[in-house]
Amino acid sequence: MVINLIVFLFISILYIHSSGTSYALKHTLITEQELHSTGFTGYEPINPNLLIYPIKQITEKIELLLIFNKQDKEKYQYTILDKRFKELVFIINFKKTGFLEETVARYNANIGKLIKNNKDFSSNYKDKLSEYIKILKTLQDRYDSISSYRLLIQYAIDTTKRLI
Amino acid sequence: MNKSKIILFIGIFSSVLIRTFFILNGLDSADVSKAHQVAEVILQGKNPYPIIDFATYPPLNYYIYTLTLFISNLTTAPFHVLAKVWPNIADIAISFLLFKLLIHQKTKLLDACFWSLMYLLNPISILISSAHGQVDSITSLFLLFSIYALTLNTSKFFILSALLLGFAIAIKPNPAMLLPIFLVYKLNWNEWKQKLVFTLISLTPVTITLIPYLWINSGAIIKNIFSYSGVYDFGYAAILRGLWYQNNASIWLPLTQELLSASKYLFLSGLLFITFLFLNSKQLIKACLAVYLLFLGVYFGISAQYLIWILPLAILSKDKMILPFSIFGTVALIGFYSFFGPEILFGRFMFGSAFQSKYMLIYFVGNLLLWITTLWWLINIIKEYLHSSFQTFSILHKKTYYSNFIYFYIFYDTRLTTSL
Repeated sequence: MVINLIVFLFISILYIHSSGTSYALKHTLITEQELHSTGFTGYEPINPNLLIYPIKQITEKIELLLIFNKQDKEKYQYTILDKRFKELVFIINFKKTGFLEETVARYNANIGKLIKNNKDFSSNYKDKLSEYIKILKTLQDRYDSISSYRLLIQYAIDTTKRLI
Repeated sequence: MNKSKIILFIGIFSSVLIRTFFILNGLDSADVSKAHQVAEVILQGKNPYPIIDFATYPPLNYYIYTLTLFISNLTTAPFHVLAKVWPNIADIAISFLLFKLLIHQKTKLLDACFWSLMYLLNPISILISSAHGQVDSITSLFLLFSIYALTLNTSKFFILSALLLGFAIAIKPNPAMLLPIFLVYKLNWNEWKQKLVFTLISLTPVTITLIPYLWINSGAIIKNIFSYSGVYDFGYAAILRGLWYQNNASIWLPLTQELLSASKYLFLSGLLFITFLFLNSKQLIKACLAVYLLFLGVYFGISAQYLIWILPLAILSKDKMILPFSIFGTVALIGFYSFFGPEILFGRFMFGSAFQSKYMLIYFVGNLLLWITTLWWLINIIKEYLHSSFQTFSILHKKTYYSNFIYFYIFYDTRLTTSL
């Protein structure tokens, strides 16, 4: 009975997940093709809307603690920034605006840390950071000029500019 | 002084210290703040029910807070500090009463000590009474006294038992759901006339305190008290809330009224099932525990403070399931307070703000495990009872049990389908 219940729950979760994903893919701010044409490479597998997201953050912190080489540490911090950027694009494009404020705050906080500690390293990432701005601007243009979401995205753009 | 008594007093002292810390560092916020507002209206001599929408408890509940406000005005001690003193005194009294009842059940002195401290040092009772400031433990204290009186000498103390149950209902109405169990409890008084007297007496305190307000404005009482269905913060509602949150950070579920309505009928049919199952049973405590577990397991509008109802009954029946219940309940409570009301848990040490997504995982996992534990526990109580007592049932009792079992499932199925 317990096994049957677990199987039933597992199938239900899979079904809800797949139907939710297919529904969400049809209701994005801009199409996948359009997004890829701006240079976007792909979403993160775990995004801030998911309940398991804090586990991803904890894992990243542990990974960062286990890196002892200074250069590798800097490199990893830029990898984390790339993850935060991809998550931000996911939240904006899938119109999960309820999570937008904290996702922008998280992205900005990450850039803040890089500005404080590893700004010299940013020249290696100049092209990538410019691409971030381009993608964010493309998404931002889909919102009305009076939209608060537009303003939040502008914060992310302005912070990225500071790192360049 | 022997070893057991030393352990008991060390436990009580530690619990008092922890509770004092929570009380002194708490804030006048959330439910305590709401009670403060109601008490102010009552102290001004006004009827709170038509004025304040969230005045959802019977008058006796608010009289406790009004007395607190009166003392607060006299002594200049903060209202929120004084308001939390009452449920904590009740918790200490429950602990002593549990100790006495366990000794009465011929439990070893040391074991009785540990079991009663399991209540007083339980994080659920500490959080609900000291941090949240809910008065549910006062209700539990009256309920325990009522059970004690009934089990001690049924024919002699049944009026006293009914009156004590009545006071419990008049403070918070939740023990009313145990009334059918009290009525089918078998000893020497299984005559309908006496059962009717028991029902009338147990409903007298709440009726007497409500009459003046019903006389002035019956509409407000019906709207506030009788139509109140609770908030859906715990149980399976919390699991659904967690899953729904992933959609777009919304904390409000769709179809809540339909689910509340369906769960009400589901609970009532379950209550009927348990009542018939424990018909003429001598296991009053287990039956009461089963009803509360059923409520936590199937009702949609479960609030944080409802978790404390389980503890004294579980301790009195020395059920080890109290351990997973306490652990998962604590996780669920921490997740709930951290996400919805950090000021309740952290008091003046609060940092950050409410509704931070990172706490939703703790809230979800805690509630998922708590809900599974609750249902598992309920099923086990029913299974154990059937295993030990079913053979002693009369043919009529067996038939009633089967028909209720079938009715429960058919009713649940049709009710849920039509509601959704």
